[in-house]
Amino acid sequence: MTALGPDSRPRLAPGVRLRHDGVRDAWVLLAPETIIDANPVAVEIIRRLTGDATLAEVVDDLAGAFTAERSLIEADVRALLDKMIGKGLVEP
Amino acid sequence: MSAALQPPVGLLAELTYRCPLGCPYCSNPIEMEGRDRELDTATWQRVFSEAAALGVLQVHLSGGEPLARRDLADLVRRCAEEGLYTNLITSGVGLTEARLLELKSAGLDHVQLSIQDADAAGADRIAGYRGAFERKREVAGWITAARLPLTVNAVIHRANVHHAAAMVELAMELGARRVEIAHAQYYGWALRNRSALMPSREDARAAVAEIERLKTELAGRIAIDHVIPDYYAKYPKACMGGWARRTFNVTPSGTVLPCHAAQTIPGLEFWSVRDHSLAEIWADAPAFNAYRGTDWMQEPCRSCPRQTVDFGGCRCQALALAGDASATDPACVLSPRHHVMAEATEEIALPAGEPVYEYRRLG
Repeated sequence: MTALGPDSRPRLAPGVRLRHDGVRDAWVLLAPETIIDANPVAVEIIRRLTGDATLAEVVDDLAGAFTAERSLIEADVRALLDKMIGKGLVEP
Repeated sequence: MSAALQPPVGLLAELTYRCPLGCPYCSNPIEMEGRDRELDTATWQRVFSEAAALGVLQVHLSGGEPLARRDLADLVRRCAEEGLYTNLITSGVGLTEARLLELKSAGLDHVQLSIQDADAAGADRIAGYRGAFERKREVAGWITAARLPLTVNAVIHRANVHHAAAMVELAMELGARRVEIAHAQYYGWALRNRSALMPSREDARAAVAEIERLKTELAGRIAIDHVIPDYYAKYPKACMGGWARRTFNVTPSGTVLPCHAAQTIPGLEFWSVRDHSLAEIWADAPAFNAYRGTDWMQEPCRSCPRQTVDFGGCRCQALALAGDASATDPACVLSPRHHVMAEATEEIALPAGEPVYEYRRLG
């Protein structure tokens, strides 16, 4: 279902931002009329969605930072992005 | 503050009751304070800073028409400095492209634009303002050109109940990614205009079905947030996500409310930001503790497994229809007063022809 190729440069949609909530010591994604809790894995992925980095670069960067198998990381990233694109939170 | 008390996530800031439109279902109170009672810029800025420190994440800048405040960009800027997500809820009337760009550079995150109907003649008649509809089209164009996310909202009532789908189409045409379709809720101005606003049961039912169908059909193109009339539901809505649990309102003069209709409940003591910090109000204001949690509940709520799902529904509706603000919301099928929900809609004689409104006005 995803339109994401390895050369896609996904980014957060306008009006969507990730911020640390100091009062609750948690990361949240703020969007129109919505607040979504972001778990630590999601935070690492979302903060790399600059619009400049390609999907392949995002995955490479994560693989380097977390010494995990690239294919597993790519599967995680695609699963999250599919969900976020479906909700209009990310532009492919 | 007790250990169990969670901080609020949202603040509805009613910056002013001034508004060029006169929508007969306005959610503002019948008796409105004028400009001379409004909080000044510095006080609103303090309120936003206190809100952020308390745990608020999103601020809804509303009114009245918030654009009537000349200091709006200064208020948005303070919110942005505090990391607060800002949502401007506007009719669009009074906006210029330059002012929109000023708000954007101050840090505005999102705009919610109201529409009254799918065509100009109908919309302007409902708003009581000639030219409002065309202005909104122009405003929507500026918003999308500025790459600000746009939500369109529409209230459904007798004069537009046949145009619900057309209003969703209009929202898409205007470039909105979200649309809120809400059936009028009958308190305040809407209650005063109820016989002119209430659609027939068949028309309301058809509109609900049509919007539900569009929700699926248009998934991925536009998100539809659909607020259906209470009398269709088996259980009540979790009004405000639970009383004094997630959000609060600040009125133009600084009174802090658990919901925008809370002042319809007699005997509640509200505190003002002029006298107290938001942290004190959230924790200790008598009106906030009156229906917080579950201790205040009567049967059937008291022993109900859904008591922390819907929190007994709406306190204002319980008062209006069951005569007791701590009763179970009559929208609930378990309420001994549930029959009044149906009666409240059936007993109203719907006059034929063009509805005649008492337009909302300040004063």
